Order: sequence, then structure tokens, then C-alpha cells
Amino acid sequence: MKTKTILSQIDQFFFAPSSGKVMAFFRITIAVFCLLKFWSLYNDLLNIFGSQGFVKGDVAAILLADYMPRLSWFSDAIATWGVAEVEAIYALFFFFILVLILLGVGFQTRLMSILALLIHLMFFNAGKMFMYGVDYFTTAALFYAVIMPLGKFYSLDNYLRSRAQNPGTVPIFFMRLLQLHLCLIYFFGGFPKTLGLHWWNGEAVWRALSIPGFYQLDMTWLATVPWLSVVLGWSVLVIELGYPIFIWFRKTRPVFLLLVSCMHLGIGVAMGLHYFAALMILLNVTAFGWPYLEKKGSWRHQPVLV
Amino acid sequence: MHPYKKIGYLAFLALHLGIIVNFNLFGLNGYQRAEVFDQLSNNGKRVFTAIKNYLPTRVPYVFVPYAHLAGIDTGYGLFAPNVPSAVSAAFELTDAAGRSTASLPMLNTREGLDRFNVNFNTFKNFEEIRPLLAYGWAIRMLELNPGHNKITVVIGSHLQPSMEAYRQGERAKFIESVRYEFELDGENNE
Repeated sequence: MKTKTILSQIDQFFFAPSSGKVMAFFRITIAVFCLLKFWSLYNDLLNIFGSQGFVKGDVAAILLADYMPRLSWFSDAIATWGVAEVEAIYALFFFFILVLILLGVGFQTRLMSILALLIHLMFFNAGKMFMYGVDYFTTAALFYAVIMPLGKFYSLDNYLRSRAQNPGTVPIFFMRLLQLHLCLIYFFGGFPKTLGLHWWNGEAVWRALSIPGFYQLDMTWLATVPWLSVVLGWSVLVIELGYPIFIWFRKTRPVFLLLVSCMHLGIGVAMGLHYFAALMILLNVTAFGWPYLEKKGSWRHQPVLV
Repeated sequence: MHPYKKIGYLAFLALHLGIIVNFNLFGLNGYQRAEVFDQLSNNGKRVFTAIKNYLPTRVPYVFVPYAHLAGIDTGYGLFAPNVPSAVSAAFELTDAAGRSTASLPMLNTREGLDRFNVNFNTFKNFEEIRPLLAYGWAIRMLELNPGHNKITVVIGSHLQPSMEAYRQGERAKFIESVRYEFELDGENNE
């Protein structure tokens, strides 16, 4: 009897029906995000991704394993038609934009998700030495776009179907996957920070805001109010270590969702990592925040997920 | 949903999350790197070593391409346990008349320049290919700066003073660690 109850709770936790609208939200926002992020590099396409750019193709290839998709697969293939690498890069760039638009509107959604992931990885690996956290998280988000049923809601695919196949719900499994992934991200981001001194004595915030690559605003005044750096450093620890626990409870979820969003917003503004901040907020809203957006104003009455 | 399908979903979930945990514990940015492991308490070290003895420390080869496709072949311990000093590169271009100009990497977009700086810091792990990287940058910079025949790539660290030291007047210092000089051999860079 007890085993049956446990199995039933597991079943409920992972496979209960949940709102399908979040799938449409995720599909549209991730497509728009990728479009904006990728477009921001348009004027540096050859500098970053070209084999004659800042990192020579043969040097970049040192870091790549055979199975990793790369631009040269495409450019070498169409070189046989007399197309130069530069033209191939621009052609793939505009094709990627088209794929993202079609993904956003939900046309051949699964196919577009697969193409988006593949092309993203081709660019990612070609410019690997220019890639950082946001690009890894973009890969993960596009991977989730491939496995999630994103085309079933508010999509062209759905509209074009001859009969209504929209049940309005999907198993919550896909959201659980994203939720658990986010919990691991924050736990593994937070725990090693507790082992050093910098996050306890405020030096971490002071140093992070002064690193030339991240320098956005003159924050030298922080040195005169060291307690503020300490508070900010401790806050990061509390948020990152508290998130994997408190995000699961109804009463604390909105608080931690807000805290983590503020943390990313702060990183975006103070360190200039705008795309990283936007993506992390987007993933958090998709994973945990959607019920509050869908039924705005009634968040106190949202059903508990646990 | 059929029970077998549910079991399949759960097995996939376990594998996916297991790979994430593995990369974070034992990957390039994982806990086994000295700067994290050495900071663990004795009990922490014992726990980590026990985990290491009982869990596979490498993702089985067949799952590595999957991890790459899924974007989970990385650790999440950025800026941990401490925030390191920033490493950066600058260029000194010299024309045929011997006039020198200092320059930052000539990327056209803010995002591109940010990526150069941000990412360069992660490449402290790849010291062996640094000369090759510098060579690539040098060629690109000469291509973008016709009329210059010689370029020096300077790589160094920005040492940021602590808040206490800053209050006492100390300021950030750039400590040069290595420089590479490249010159076009009898060619005109037009």
C-alpha cells in the first residue's frame, strides 16, 4: 500500500497534466532571444566565426572533437559548387534567422528546433573561443525545444491541422526536467563559492565589478561602503544555495523567483552580460514563473507543485 | 501515458541529470580542480574522495556527444571559489616608418569585444595554445590595419587591489606576463 502511494506520488510529480500555454511562451521567447543574440554579432560574423577571423580555423579545430558540428561541414560541402566560405557563413546566418522566425511562429516546429540546435552548434563550435556561459545555456534551451512538445500550442502547426488536437495540457515532465536542471545550476554555482573567502568578505563582488571585461559602471565607490559588498556577496550565496530548496514551496517560490531574477538583472546591468541575464530570467519564468503570469493576480492560490 | 513510456522518461531524466552532476564534479570546471578541492574541509575531502571512488569520474564515451548536443558538457562554478584576476590582451602596431599605435582587439560590435574579453579569461586553461592564438590575432589585426608591418601582442593580468588597499590609495595594475612579436617578412601590408 505504501509503495503504491509513493509510486502514485512520483507519477503525480512527474506526469500530472500542466498548462500547455507555457510551451508556446518558451517557444516564442527562446526564438526571439536567439534571434536578438545572434543578430548582435552580425557585424563580427567573419571576425568570430570565419576560419580567417581572430582565431584561425586550424587553431579552433584543436579544441573540437570529431562529432562536434562545425561551420566547415557546411562551407566545405557547398565549396564544391564554387561558394566561398564567406558567402557560406552569411548564407547560413540568414538561414538561421529564417529558422528562428519559423520556430517562433511554430511552423514545422520540431524540424525547426532541430535545425536551430544544429546551426547554433555549428556557429558555437566555429567560434568556440568566443563562447561563454550564455552560449552553453542557449544550447541547452534549444535542446529542450527539440524534446518538448512546443508546436502543440498557439502555433502555425496547430492552426494548420485539420482537426483540433490541442488537449490544452502536457505532462509536467518537461517542466520538471528544466526545473531540476535549474536547481543543479544554482547549487553547483553556489556551493564552491562558499569554499572561498571572496564571497564571504565582499571581495568577490568588488572584484567582479572591476574586471576589465565586465566593467560597465564606475563602482569604485563600493570600496568606501564595504559592508554593501559583503551583503551582496552573502545574498548571492543565499540565493544560489536556497534556490534548489525554497523554489519548491508555494510560499517561498515567488520570493526566490524574484530574488534570482533580481540577481540576474543586477549581473546584466552591472557586468554587461545582458543576454546571459535575459536567458536565465527567461528559463526561470518558463520553469517556475509561468503560473504567476498565466493567472496574474491570483498567485497566492496557485497549486503547489510539491 | 503507458507505464513503460513513463519509465523511459524517468530513465532519460536520471541520465541527463547524472551527466550534469558528473561534469560539475569531475569536468574541466568541476570540484576536482585544485582551487576547489584544496578549499574543502577534511570531512569535505573525505566525502568527495568517497564519491570519486564510487561514481564514474568520466561520462562514458557514448554519452559525451549527447552531452555536447544537450549543452550540458560544462560546469557551473563560475567565479568560484574566488574571483580570479582578469587576463587581457593588447596590441601594439608599428608602421613602416616605425610609428607605433596601441590598440585593443578590433571587433566591430560591443558583444564581440565583450566576448573577446570574457572568453579570454577562460583561456587561462589553455596556455599551450596561447602562442597560436596570439599568432591568429596578430594576422587578423594586420589585415585590419593596412600600412603596419609589425605587431606586438601583450598578454597580462589586471591585479585588482582589495577594497582595503584601494581605500589606502592602491590602484589596479597591469602585470605583463608574456609578449609575442610578429613582423611581415619583406612584404608590404597594403
